[in-house]
Amino acid sequence: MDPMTIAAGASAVSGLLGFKGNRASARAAEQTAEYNARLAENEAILLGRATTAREAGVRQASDSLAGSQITAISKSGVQVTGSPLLALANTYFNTEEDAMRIRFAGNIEQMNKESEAALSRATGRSQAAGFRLAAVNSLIGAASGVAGAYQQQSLLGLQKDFYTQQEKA
Amino acid sequence: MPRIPLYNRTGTPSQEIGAQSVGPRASIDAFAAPSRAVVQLGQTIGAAGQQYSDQMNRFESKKAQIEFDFAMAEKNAETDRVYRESMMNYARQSQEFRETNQDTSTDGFRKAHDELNDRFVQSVDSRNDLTPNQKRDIKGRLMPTFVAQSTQGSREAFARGQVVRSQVAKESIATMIGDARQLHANHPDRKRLVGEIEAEILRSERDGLNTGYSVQSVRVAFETGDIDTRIRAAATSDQLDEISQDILKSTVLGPNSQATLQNRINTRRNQLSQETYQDLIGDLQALNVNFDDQDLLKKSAKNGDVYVGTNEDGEEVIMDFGAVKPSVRQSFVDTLIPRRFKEIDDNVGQVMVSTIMSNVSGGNSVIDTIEDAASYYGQDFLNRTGKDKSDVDAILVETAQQIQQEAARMVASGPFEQDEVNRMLDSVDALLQQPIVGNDAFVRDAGALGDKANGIANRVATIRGDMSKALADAAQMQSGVDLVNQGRINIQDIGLTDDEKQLAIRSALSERETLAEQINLLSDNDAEFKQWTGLLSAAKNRLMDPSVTEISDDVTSALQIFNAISLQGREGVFDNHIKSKDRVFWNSWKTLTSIHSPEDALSIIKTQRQETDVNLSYEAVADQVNVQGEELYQQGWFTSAWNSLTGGEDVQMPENISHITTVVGNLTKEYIKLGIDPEAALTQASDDFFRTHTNVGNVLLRIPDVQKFPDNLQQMRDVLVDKFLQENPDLTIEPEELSIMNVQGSVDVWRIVRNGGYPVTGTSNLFNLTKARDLVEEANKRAAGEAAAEGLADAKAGIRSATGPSAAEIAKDIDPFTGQPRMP
Repeated sequence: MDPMTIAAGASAVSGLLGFKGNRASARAAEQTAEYNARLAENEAILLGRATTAREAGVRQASDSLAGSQITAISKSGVQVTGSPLLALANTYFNTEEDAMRIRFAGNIEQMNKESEAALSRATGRSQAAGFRLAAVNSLIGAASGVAGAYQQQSLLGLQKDFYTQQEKA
Repeated sequence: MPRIPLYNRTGTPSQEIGAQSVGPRASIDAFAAPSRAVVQLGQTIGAAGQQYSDQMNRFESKKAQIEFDFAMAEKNAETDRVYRESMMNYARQSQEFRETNQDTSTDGFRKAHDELNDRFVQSVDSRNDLTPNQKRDIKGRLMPTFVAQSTQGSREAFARGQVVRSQVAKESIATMIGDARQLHANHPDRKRLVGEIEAEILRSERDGLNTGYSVQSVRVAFETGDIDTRIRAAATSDQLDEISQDILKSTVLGPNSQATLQNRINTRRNQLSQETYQDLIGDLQALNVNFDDQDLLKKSAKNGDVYVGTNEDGEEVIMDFGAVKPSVRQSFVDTLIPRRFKEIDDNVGQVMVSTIMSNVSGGNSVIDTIEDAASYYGQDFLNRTGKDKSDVDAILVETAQQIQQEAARMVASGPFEQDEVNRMLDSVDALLQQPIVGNDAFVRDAGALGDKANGIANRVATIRGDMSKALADAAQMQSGVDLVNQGRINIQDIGLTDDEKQLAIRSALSERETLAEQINLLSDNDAEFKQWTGLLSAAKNRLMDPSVTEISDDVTSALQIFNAISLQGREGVFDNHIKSKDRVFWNSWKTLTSIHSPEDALSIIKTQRQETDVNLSYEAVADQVNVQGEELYQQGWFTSAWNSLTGGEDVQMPENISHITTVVGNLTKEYIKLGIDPEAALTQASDDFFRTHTNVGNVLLRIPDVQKFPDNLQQMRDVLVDKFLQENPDLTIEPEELSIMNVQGSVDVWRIVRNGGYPVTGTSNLFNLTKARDLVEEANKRAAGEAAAEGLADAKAGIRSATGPSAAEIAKDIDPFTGQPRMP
């Protein structure tokens, strides 16, 4: 088999494999990014639920504490004024503050996950685009290789023709 | 107091509400890795393919480059080879052309030589084994040679023309000079001719012709010739004096010419004197005188008188001593006249000596010799010869000495008759030691004569010893010669030294009349004759010496010896006489001179490259040459040359195949040594072989190497074969099986041969050339007679058919009585 055929075949195989491989890589990148994005979105949902549950728990504990405070005050016969009142108010306000902070933190985490999902998709598309470009590049490279081999072969043929002419001259 | 529980703040919300992973993050790189691996595989394959392709391309390129370089180098080498061959071929053609060309004008030569060049260029152009560039290259490289040869030839043609023109002019001038010299110096025609001569000389000088004459030289020559004529005609000294004065007055003659003529005058003067002197000497020798005439002759000579006598025939002899100078006359008085009378005296003595010597050689015994000696003392003899006893004594001792000296020479110079020498020595002893007519023996003489006699007697004893030794040596040498003749000189040792063996061989060889017999004798003895070895070695060195241009007698002798050894095929003699370092040369010489002239053979040998591995190159064509039997007829080189020789006619094929293949093979090797391609060498060898051979019956015969060998060999073969078969009717041989060959290269002896060269036994199987020619002539006459008879019969038949039957024939068929045709 002559070198030109081998070189052209190798270039074609290289281009084909490069094209298919890069195309597969593009698909894998997109799919993986999508997968990761969905994971992030799921985690955001779970974060929302956890935030709600946590807020509900704080409030439930606060309600329970306030009930205990009231019971204790009542048993002491003290009027709910002064310090007892302050304790109740403290519970109340602290409960609200914690609920707000929990909600705020939960929102931040959710936003973070949503951003992560978006980023993952963007990254996947970006890499897929890169891989597709590489696939086309492979084809072009293969064509270039074949052309180069053909050119080399042509040069060699010209060289041989020249030699033959010189010998016969 | 009851304790009111206080609100316990929770920790940092972010810590409490941490994000929980629902699964591990997938790595794009990990999932894309197989695809990337595929891509990488593709890249690797592509790179490998590309690399392989690059390497193969580089390899192919390099290979093509190497093949190209090799092909070009081979092409160049082939071009060089063809160029060398063409160069040699052209040089030979041009050389032959120039040698045979007789043009005396440069134009004529150039025109003819240009045709030669054109043919040669066309021969190069028509070759199919050369490319255009090769042809162009070869022609370009040959061009300087064309020019050089043409220029050289033109120069030679011009020189020839000049020689011819010079010769014509020279002959014309010489003729006119010859005519003019017949005339007197003042003759009108002489003056006219001299004028024409001078005009012709001036024309020749203008045209660059070398006539050898100049105006001045002709004038001098005429003047010199005229004076020379006068000198030769002068008969007296006075006439010569007058001529001498004329020479001094001459305005034409230069000092040298004048001196030359004066010398001629002196020579003539001496010549005149010498002629007179010689006349006197001749007269003196011719005079019939006795001892008493001496005084009168001396007196006449001294006084310049005329002496009148007679010669032995009684004719008158007149001697005028006054015609010569006094000094010359004195020489007659002091020397010539006494010598004349001493000669007479000596002559008598020598006759006495010679008489006894010849008698001894003729077989006289000692007693006879003594009697001869005694007769010299007789009074009559003494009176007749003017001798006395002491003269006879001296003569007899002188006789003994001369006999002794002759015997010594005989013993020293080689073969001699022992009896004769003994008789001579006995005679000497007798003459010296026996009393003769009562006188004491000479050896008893107390004076000088006795001393001389004793010395002679002593030498006689020495000679007898020498003779014994010489006889013994001769006997041993004869034994050596006998051994040589028996072929055993190197087998049986009889104590001869190497030098003595060589002498024995030389002696035995000298008894052989022909070189062939001498070679056979050396072969029988397996002996070396060193004189031949030296001769052959020296001949080779002289032949190869570039400064030697002529073949000397020694070389000619060596070549004759070598050719004879070669023709007889005595390998032992060849080995014994050719030194190993000379064998290559002599083998080449043998091969090449079988085809070429000695000069051409020598030229080829000098051109050969001795370092060439001939056998290696010869392998390329060996299969075509080393063939057996009829395989030869299938070889291309043979069929081509054979068809060319026979013109394609269906003639009998040659059967001396081994001779053909041996000569062509050896010749091919010699040509290979010139650096020629083996195939070309074989073709050339074949061409040369067939050029020098012709088919005669079933042999290819070397055309006799003599100038214009006139005989038709095929016809000679037919006649001789017929003759042989007629003489040998019992032989069952077809004529086609027989042919003729010349014996050992000679054209004088022809032998009937069979099956391509094997001698046939039988009557009339050997013919000399004269006999062969006689037989051919006889056959021709017979054939001519038969043809004439046949022609006559045809003519008669033709006449008869034209005129009808003769009257006699008609009458024969008519009945005379009835007048009607006879009934059958």
